[in-house]
Amino acid sequence: MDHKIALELLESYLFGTLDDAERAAVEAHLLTGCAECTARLRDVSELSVRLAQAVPQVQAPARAKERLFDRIRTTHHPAKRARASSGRLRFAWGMAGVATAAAGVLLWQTTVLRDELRTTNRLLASTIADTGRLRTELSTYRAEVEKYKDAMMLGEPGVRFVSLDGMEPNRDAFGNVVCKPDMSAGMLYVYRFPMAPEDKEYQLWGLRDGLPPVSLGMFTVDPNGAAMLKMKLIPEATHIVGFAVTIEPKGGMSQPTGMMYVKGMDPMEEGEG
Amino acid sequence: MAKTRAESGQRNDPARDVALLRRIHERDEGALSAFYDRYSTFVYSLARSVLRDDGDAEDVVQDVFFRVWERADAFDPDRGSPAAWLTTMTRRLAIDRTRSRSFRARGREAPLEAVAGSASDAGRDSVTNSAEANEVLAALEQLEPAYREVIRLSYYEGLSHSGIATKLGTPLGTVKSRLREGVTQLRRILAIKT
Ligand SMILES: [Zn+2]
Repeated sequence: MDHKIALELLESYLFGTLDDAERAAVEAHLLTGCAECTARLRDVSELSVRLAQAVPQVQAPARAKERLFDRIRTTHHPAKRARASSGRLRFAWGMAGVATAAAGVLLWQTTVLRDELRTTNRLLASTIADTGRLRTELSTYRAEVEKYKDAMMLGEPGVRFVSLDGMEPNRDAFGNVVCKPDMSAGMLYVYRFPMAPEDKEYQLWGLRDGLPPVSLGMFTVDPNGAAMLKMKLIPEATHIVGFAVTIEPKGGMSQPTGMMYVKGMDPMEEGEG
Repeated sequence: MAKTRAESGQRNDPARDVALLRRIHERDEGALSAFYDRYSTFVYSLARSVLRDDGDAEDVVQDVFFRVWERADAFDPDRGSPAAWLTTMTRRLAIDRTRSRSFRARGREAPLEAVAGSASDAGRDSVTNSAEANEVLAALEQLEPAYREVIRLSYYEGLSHSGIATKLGTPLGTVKSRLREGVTQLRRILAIKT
């Protein structure tokens, strides 16, 4: 999407009044990492919070919390164990990004929140050291998304995003799958993978409920441990609920046999059943 | 003044919220519980103002916090604070709900509930405005009426650009530029810095 058009739609994007197509188009433009749009988005999002505070404040019924916890406890989470690991990495970005917001807080809460802020600042100091390196990785990632955006039709409504988390012993590995809802096209992006030995390749699997996994393609990683894979087309009726990557003999296997590196379940699919 | 700041500061504490989100991502139910306690009133009230139905608003609360639990990693600090993330998610889910067929079938296309006690109904005893709300209302009052109206229709009535253009009989381009300029002015009045 054209930058000027995206910029025009940002308020409505935040206010939730865009239709699906416009919303997806704005998302796609934001994924390019456009600095001006991201800055405007951040500014207007704080105004959106303030406007929300002006509606009459009413407590939610107590049963709402019970319902929520019933729901999360009865939802199956096969990827639960793996989540904790890559969280550390992603939230390192989180803490760094909060530096700006925390600086704003500093200005007007000096007396009241001094102690809390001291803690915050210590936390920030320790994470800011990592910021430079992580920012570089982030911009590489975004550049890659941009490069493949058209192929992926990220702007289409209903596109599925699934995060893949690193498994032991390669907990730093992570990835994302972006695919059309009907699986007629999809891309895999992985990062921080070890180089595979000469006779091995990585293989991407589509996980199915109660059925064996289906192969979605083979790949190797570049010297930085990153790779992109345009996924193999699969029959429309195949219902994929998640993705995993294993290491396999060159040429691939019909079923996974090697060590699993990353895995992720589609939360939307999980939620349904 | 210090008291007001402290109260709103509790909500606008992004570092603490990010720490909670990180624990939520690691499947810490205690963190979800704490995050819920901080924001459930905020989310419920916002959803209720869009949907004008307590049951629907409760469903949105479920969906918002369930998504937080499932996708805490989708939070992107570059795009704003956790509170901003929640606000966007809540508005989107609530407005999408108003647009769904079942919602229409139930005849809820009526204008959405307006902002808390605006100048006209200030003092209505059912509405006790917080200091935060009063500050925002005062800022809205300072806007030029044309800008205020577009913000009201967009934010508090959830109308799209074209919906506003139709309602006001104003060209689409004018609606877009007024919304943009109104938002910019409002930010200036409220001295929002990020
Ligand atoms: Zn842009």
